[in-house]
Amino acid sequence: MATVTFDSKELCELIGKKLSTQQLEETLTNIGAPVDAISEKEVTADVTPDRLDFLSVEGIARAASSFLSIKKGLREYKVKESGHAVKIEESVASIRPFIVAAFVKEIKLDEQLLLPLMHVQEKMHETYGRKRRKASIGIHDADKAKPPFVYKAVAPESVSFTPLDASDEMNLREILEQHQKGIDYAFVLEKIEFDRKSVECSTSRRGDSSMKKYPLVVDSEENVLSFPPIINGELTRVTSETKNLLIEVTGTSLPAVNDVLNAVCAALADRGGKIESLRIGKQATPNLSPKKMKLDLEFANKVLGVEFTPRQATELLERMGFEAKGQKELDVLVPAYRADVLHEIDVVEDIAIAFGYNNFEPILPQLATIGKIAEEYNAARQTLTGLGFLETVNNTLTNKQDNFTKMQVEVHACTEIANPITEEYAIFRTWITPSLLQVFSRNKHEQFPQKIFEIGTTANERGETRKKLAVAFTDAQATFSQIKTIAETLLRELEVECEIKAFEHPAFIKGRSASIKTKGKTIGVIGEIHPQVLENFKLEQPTTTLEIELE
Amino acid sequence: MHQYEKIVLKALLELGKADAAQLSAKTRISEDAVLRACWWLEEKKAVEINDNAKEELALSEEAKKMLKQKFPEQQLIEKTSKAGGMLALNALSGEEKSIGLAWAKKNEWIEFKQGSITLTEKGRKALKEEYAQLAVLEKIAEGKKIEERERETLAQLEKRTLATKKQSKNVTVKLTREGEKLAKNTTVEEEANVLTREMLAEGKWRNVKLREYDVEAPVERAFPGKPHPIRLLMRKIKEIFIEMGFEEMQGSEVESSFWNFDALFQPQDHPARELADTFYLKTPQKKELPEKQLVERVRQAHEKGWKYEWNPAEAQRAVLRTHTTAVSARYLHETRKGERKDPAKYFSIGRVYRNEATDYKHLAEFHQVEGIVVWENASFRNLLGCLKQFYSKLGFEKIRFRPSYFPYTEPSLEIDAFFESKKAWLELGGAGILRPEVCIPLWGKYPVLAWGLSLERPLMLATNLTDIKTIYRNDLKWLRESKMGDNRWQQ
Repeated sequence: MATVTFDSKELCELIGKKLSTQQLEETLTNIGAPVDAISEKEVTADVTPDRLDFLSVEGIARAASSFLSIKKGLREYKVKESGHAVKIEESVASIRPFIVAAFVKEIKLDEQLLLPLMHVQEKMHETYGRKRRKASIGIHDADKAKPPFVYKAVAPESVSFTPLDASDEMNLREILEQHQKGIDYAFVLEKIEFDRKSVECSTSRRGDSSMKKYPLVVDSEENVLSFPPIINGELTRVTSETKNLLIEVTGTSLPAVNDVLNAVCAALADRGGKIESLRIGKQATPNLSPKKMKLDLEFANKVLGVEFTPRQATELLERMGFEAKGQKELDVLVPAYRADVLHEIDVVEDIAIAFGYNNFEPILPQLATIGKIAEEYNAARQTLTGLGFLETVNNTLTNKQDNFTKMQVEVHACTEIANPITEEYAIFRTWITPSLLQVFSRNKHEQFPQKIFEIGTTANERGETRKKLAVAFTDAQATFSQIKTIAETLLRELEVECEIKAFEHPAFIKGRSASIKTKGKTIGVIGEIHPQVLENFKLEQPTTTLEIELE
Repeated sequence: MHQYEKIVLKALLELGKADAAQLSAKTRISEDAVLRACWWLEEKKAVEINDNAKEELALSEEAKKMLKQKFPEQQLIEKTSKAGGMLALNALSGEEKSIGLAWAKKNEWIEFKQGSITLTEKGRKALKEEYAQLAVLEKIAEGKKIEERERETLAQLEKRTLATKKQSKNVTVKLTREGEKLAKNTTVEEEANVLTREMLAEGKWRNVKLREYDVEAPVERAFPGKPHPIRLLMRKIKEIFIEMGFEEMQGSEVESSFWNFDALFQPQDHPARELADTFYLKTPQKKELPEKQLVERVRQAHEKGWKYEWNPAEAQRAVLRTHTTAVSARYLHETRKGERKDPAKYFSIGRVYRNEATDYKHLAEFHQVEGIVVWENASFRNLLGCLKQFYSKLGFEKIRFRPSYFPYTEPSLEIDAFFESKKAWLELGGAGILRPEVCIPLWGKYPVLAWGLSLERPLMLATNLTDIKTIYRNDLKWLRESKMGDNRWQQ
């Protein structure tokens, strides 16, 4: 979820209607960009990651203006051929294979437009662009560079240029090591190496650093436009004087770079920019012509539980910026900036949004089924609460120290996290008793006796989870016989025939622990906790525990 | 007559005149109860009560200090005198400056001249005389009576909070002549505290007076064993689902990425799958993929929908499930295999994990509640119908729906509930219809309605908890004070 902030007045101007803050809030919420904060001056909204077009004020305004029937239906975006091209060299294929580009001509880039454009660029990089990896945008002053452009991979020290915000020329390695953007985003280029290795891509020249190459966009005179996805060159810096823009988007996914380019071009076209295409191989980009889709109206009505006529459906689709024609099967034109529309069902959702989710009459499914709950061990829970024990619910994540070492148990294999947030929560517990001792150690100031239990989940080293029950009692007067009474009472109530047999366990005092066996199988252990273990948990009262398997 | 009245009467007969403390000591009844008995007796004109309010003076700690080392204003003039009658201000100690200066000026002992103080005539005289404030302070300390002419000085001491007046109540009780008569004619029967087995067996209880208790007196608090608050909410939610005809699903906390993500159409480069959001496992590192045909169908859905090369190795990576939707995915597949019947309505409540820094709003481990309707004729309106019913049973009558996005549902929505107390809409869950790319590979049919919410959020909102970490910290005080009553779910 991305958060975007826009100027309220500008947004209303682009929508084409003066809206009160309440109307604006309602509209944005109803089109799927719920408002976080709103004032006369500014509006901050949450944008879901699928709506690339909502990252720009132009895109949100476009959607709101259709939704409010101010300017509904498909907007046409004209693209003129520029006659220029971007040449892709084979060398980028295994590094960052895709580039698309467009010219935006005759645009007035005052401060009011320039800064938001940078913001949109950053938001797109972070979200849809997956931190610049999948797609990153370079925006240039088109008049400072000479087409055709070339996209190629070069050795780190073979090319030097002056990157943005630097005074001197630097080679690519120096940029990665010394320029702020290089330091911030070098990992993207590293990650490509890593990913190549991990998928054992046949084209990769595995990790041999002397063979490492970095992507570069240059013009016909070998001037560097950008070192994607890191930084542009100072040469083509965009200023408020800039009149014509060159936009290039590079990345690892062809659909993603196209989606990003389309979204940026649509936004700039809404600002009066004239879009011109460039040839990339056999294609010309951007392609802002709408995507054609079929919508089976019967399917849409069935999914929504309504009976919209073709006219109603068409009208609703127009309010989402689509164009639709037809009767039973609608021919729908989906605007190019709507990267999120993958399937017929996505069009159905737009019909629902246009109609208003809160305008549907909710109706329970006319489907008779029988309710049923799974085992929740209420017999055990009721017996224990009846005996005065408080139920606790603890984390299942713990660490080897608490789970094994403090309990004087040898560390053994268990379900273990590869990327824990803290070492404190690095494994899945193998038993519950340590969790209960933790509870005691946090409650030493509370009234005694303390009687607690937990019915919870544990896991073994194969990642198989097991339900277990543990009981703990701490008090100056705690004795083994008490916990044995509890164990026998519990198992009697659960109708489990069992034997309690002497059994040594390092967590307990020698001669004061026993196993619980049923049909020859050990299902649990009871005992009085060893003083060393008490000390490990900083406990100051005798403590007895019981733990059994429930399954 | 009340038993206490009788006892007090008898005691007064011996003592003649006594105060409440003496009576209490004699009768072994609390002072309060003795006083109550005396008032009842006064109504019967058996005693006379004398209410003498006495004024006592108490000294502050500061006053006690001054008794030992004189007042700061005295110290000040002594110092000035020693220095030859003139002293620079900065030569004064803290107290001399903060307290002494003002009082010395007020007493007209000193004058200020160009940042210095000089002694006045009065000041020189004061050096030789007794200081009135000190004299009264000494008198109080010795418990001597304060004379009328000293009242003004006392008022000064009170203003300086060196001395404070305390009212002490002294109630004396005296038998009247009628009382004396009454006392002589009264017998106090033998009183038993407890009814014993012996009294019952031998019928002695007939001759014994069982003591009347002060039933309004406070008693010790007891704390029952009880389920954890989150368990009570879980039970409430299970009841709601059962009432609505839903059957509970269960699954494992340890899952493969396949079930947690891929089967739910979450592309392999989706941000939710990053290390910063999901706990991947070192042991076990991988989980086996299900049967080939299903894997193939899922691969095709991804490659067609998201246009990238789907990697089965990525799908094998073991994770701690990030949502219970993984369980729903398995149930759908089991339905396709004929192990379960459709149509069906299922729910689950289970623990989920997110690799997030914990704070007052976020936990790495929490519970998710999920409901699904597996039915070919289900519609979006049915989803809204289920949601309305579900949330209303949970106590949230005023709800609204708004469009949202989840990778595996379309249409997708979020549910807000209106909180009168906060005058605000707060988000309370997400819902949607599982996408064809999810339903078809798993179940073979379409659609499935689904919604989910965290279990902790309604608990926090309903109990005004401000820190989510409270729930699983298991402070015994919090657990003991938590209430079993169910009505908190009614807003």
